[in-house]
Amino acid sequence: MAEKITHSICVGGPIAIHTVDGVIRRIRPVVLDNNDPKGWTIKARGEEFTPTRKLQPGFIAMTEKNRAYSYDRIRYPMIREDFVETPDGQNRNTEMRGKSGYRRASWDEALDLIVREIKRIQGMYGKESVTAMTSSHHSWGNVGYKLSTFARFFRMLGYTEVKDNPDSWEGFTWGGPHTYGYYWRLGGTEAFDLLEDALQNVETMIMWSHDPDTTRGGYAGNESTMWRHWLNDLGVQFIYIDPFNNFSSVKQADKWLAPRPGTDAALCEAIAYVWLTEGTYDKEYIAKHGHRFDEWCDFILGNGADRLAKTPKWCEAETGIPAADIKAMARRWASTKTMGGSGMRGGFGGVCRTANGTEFARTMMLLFAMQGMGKPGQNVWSGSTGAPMDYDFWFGGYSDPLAQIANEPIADKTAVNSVTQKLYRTNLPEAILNGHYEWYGEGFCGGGIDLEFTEHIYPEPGCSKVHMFWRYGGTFMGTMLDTNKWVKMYQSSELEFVVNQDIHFHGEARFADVVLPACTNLERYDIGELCNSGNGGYQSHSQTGNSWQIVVFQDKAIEPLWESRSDYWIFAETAKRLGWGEEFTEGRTELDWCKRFWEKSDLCDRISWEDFTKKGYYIVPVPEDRIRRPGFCWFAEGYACDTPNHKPFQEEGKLGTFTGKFEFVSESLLYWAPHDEARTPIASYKRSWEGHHSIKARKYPFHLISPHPRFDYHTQHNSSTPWFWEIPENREYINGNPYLVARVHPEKAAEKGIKDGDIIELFNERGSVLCVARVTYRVEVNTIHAYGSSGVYNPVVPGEMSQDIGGCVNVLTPGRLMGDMVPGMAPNSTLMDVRKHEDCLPLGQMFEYKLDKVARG
Amino acid sequence: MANTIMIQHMFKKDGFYKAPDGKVYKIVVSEIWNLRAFEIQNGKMTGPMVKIHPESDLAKSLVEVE
Amino acid sequence: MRLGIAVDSRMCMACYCCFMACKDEHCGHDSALSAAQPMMGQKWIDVREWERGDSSRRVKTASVPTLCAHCKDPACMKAAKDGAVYKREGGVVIIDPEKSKGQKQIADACPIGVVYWNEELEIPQKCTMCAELLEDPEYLSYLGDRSLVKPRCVEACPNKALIFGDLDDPNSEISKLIASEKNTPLPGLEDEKTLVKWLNVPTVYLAGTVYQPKELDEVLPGAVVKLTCRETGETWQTESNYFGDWEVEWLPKNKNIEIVIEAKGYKPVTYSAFTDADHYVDMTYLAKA
Repeated sequence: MAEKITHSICVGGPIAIHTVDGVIRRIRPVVLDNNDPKGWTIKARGEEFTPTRKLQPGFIAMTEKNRAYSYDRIRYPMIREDFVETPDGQNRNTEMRGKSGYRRASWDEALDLIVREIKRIQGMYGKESVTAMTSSHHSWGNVGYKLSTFARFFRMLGYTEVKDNPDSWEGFTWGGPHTYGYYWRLGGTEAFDLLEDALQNVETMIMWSHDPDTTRGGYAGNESTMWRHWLNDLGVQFIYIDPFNNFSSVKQADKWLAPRPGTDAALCEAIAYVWLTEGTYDKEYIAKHGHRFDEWCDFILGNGADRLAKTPKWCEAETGIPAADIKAMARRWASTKTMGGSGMRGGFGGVCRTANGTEFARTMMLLFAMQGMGKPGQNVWSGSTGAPMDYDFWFGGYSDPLAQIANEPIADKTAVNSVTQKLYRTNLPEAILNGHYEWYGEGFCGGGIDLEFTEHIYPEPGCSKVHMFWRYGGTFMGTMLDTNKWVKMYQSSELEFVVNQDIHFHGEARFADVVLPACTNLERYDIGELCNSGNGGYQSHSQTGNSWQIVVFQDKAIEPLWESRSDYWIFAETAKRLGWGEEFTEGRTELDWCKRFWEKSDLCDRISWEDFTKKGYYIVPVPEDRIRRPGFCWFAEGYACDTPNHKPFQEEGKLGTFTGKFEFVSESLLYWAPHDEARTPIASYKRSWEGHHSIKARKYPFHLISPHPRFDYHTQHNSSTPWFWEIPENREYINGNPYLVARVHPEKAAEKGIKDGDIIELFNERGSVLCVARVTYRVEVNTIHAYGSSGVYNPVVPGEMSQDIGGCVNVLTPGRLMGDMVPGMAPNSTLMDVRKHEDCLPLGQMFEYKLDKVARG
Repeated sequence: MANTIMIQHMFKKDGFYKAPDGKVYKIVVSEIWNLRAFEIQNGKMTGPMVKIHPESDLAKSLVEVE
Repeated sequence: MRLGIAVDSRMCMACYCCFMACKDEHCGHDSALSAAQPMMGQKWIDVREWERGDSSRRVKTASVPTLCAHCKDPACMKAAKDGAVYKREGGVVIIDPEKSKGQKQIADACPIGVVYWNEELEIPQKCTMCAELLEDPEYLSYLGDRSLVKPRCVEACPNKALIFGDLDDPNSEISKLIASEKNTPLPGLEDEKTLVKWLNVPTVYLAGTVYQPKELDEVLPGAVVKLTCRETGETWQTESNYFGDWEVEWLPKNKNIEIVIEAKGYKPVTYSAFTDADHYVDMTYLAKA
């Protein structure tokens, strides 16, 4: 039994795949051999640091075999049992979506039906009446990515595009640019060479709403965990600020501060107050780089319009953190070389997904400015990016237009969408149900601050509403807002036809009329670079979150399982039936497309196609004589920007704000949104529209926080990989159902009569979720912590807006956006109550319900 | 460490430039470390990605075209 | 040569890579040395965790990846009949999947609970230290270097919490680590020589915070905190830090400890604490002398 070894990259990192007789035997990390290049070394404080000669995927990557053969794979094309193909699109039993079973169909039957419906609907209402939407990171690889194959198909078809909201870094996209620019990095900063800077200089790390061991650098697996061990061993002090003593904090924190959720901006203001009153900030830096600082000082010190001094005592009342601790924290920060930030790239983290998210993002940035951001050991850097890399090597990441099969030069001809009408993801259900929706902004808005203020209306004048919805990739039931409204949307007859194309039969797939089985990226060809989200694009050079830079030939390890097919095959077949198959494929197979990425990048200069596909990967060596250009140093020192991914104005030493400086009073907001109360020209803490000052708090006194999950990636693994349910901090398997862990403080648990391991109900006016209680001192006393992104969605009454036992806490989150002009979501501003569940448990119907007998086949 | 004016930004991203040999290039990446182009033939990007060293003769000889 | 694994609890982040790699290798696959692990229910390497502390003022977790220790004198072997448990050259303890059928007492005998009973096959099962892979010349031959072949859990660990090597070679990485770190055998294995060694598994800490008089809202760095255990005569001393926090780790379990907190210009404060578990002693507000 000869084993075949191939390689791939999954959202959990790169893997080696062992296959025997066409069946995957095991999944291993990529271990470097003696022919692979040397790793970088960093000399700091008398020691030398170099990475282990092995790639470090996260545990989710180790389960890719299990996930591929999972019990809940969609195995065959399926059509809803009571779907009727009426000629006018009416009377299709749409109210039964989510409840009805499915019958097995052939690919011909399913695709022919889809093509008939596309033609009918676009013929009746116009091209814009078809919409389609993806989840993020369905699977890794430049060919299969949503901006590549999916985008090529739908742009060629013509459709109403659904703009994504910047779901993981909301406050930074909508706040950061108004304070310090960097709109092209979506409000995040630059981390070039800051690992070396930190190892050499830093004394204190501020990990604000940051759990690096959980968020794993986005898609870098555990590539950076050793760096933080190194810093720990050098005696660097780690201060974690989070209402949950998160999984990095509980191992590593020298101090854990637990603010009441959503009050972090108040903490920022009180820290500033201490520095201003004690004179412990970098006055020279601020004089040179700050804009309208004095007005901000007045505001902090109590001489502003609100006449309220932002003292530590005031802050104690808001945040629950003792004033003495706030002062101690401010003094430690001011008196030592301090780096830090929020979330994995300095500009992420759960706080930025609260009602006050923009204001937190902005005030936190101002604090770093006040301590001379960009000077050695003083920067926004959160310990999970900024490793040395070879910037002189170019291979495209997923957000690079140059690295998508939708565009030249990878394609011979760029696919262009003929429809201008758009929708916005967070409020898609309202748009469909009400037939009308208005909003600001272009989604990510990386092209300029002005894009935050473009005005959209649905339907666009002269356009039709949408009547067909093609959903692709993982479920949103566990990631979007107030998600019961998605159930309502699906059951509306406004949507005459719904297709869902996914790998696993997760929550949202059950609402479709036609379900198409896509295969995993172990069952098809692709090519990609680890953690490269796009050079030149947003979060440019995110590969610096890795210890090793690696481009992988994602070889097809096995044939597609059951009757699943690659996304490319599905779209190519559909295009063929629509009459433009040849234009879609340009005559290329998936393997041909892979080779185009090699051909049109620097990879072809470094390694031959034959050697690359034989070995399976290419490690990009870091030159020994690399030049160090630490991020943001150019600005602090006042020379022309010399880091990659910069804009022309930075050559004059300027930031991307109107004034080119840190704007303590934002000129861009004064220009575009002077009266916006959620995001004011002076960044400031504001009481949340759903927080402890709300009237609602009298009825629903607990804050729910639902951060990015430790035991999953988006929604992709938990439902399909039962091994996850054996992790006690993740789920507990009771009565046939894997209940999600929700964390309750012992004090409140005692009040509510809740014991560790009890089934508890989390509820508010929007919904109800059953979880299993973990009684722990690791949560702030008023907070319930339950991870978001539940891939398991298991309503007690299928297809109804009923109690969920799958752990989809997103049904409790508010659909309200941050502000009238701030279209960001705020799931971490949720009020709710909790009680012990005394009734008998619902049956674990999920498994019988999900896999109807046809699908089991 | 201070840099003088970077030649990269004498080029506009997505702009077209002509070399003395008559070849026309479209600049697709214009950053420090990475000044990259594709040759344009019949309005299409063709051939491999061209790496232009910012201090090279080629860089200095390119002239913007409409 | 005795190949073994050092488990460094200090480095373990409870990332579950070892757990998943082990499942990936053994669930649903028979090997030369073992029957397939069931898809659910057994944890040949189990990341055992507990929360440390009784206050949100100071809370940590301990993580101890727990797998078969491969004892020199295994309790499971003593409990086994018909040679169902045997030791291989080098000391790896193996349960024969055929001879052990019906012998539940083998699973019950393990002092650390890492031998699992397979209801379906009626056999006891546990970690093989991937011996079947280590001795298979084909396994990872593509890497061209036998020194890169390790048990699956060790290979998957990103944190250097699991170290594999020769216990008999004093210069091996594992031997050096064992020599330099705190050796903390698991309860039940204190007197046993094992191929798996646990390091830095924490005992108990006491911690607190020192403040100036309450109305001042100020922490008090530099206060001297002295701990004494009358019973053993041991003493410990530390200082409050920039947050006013103090902490003493590695205290002996189940002892009465007396604590004195002193700072110049303030009245000293005393406490007594019992080290049955980790305790946050108090937010201590010192009064002016």
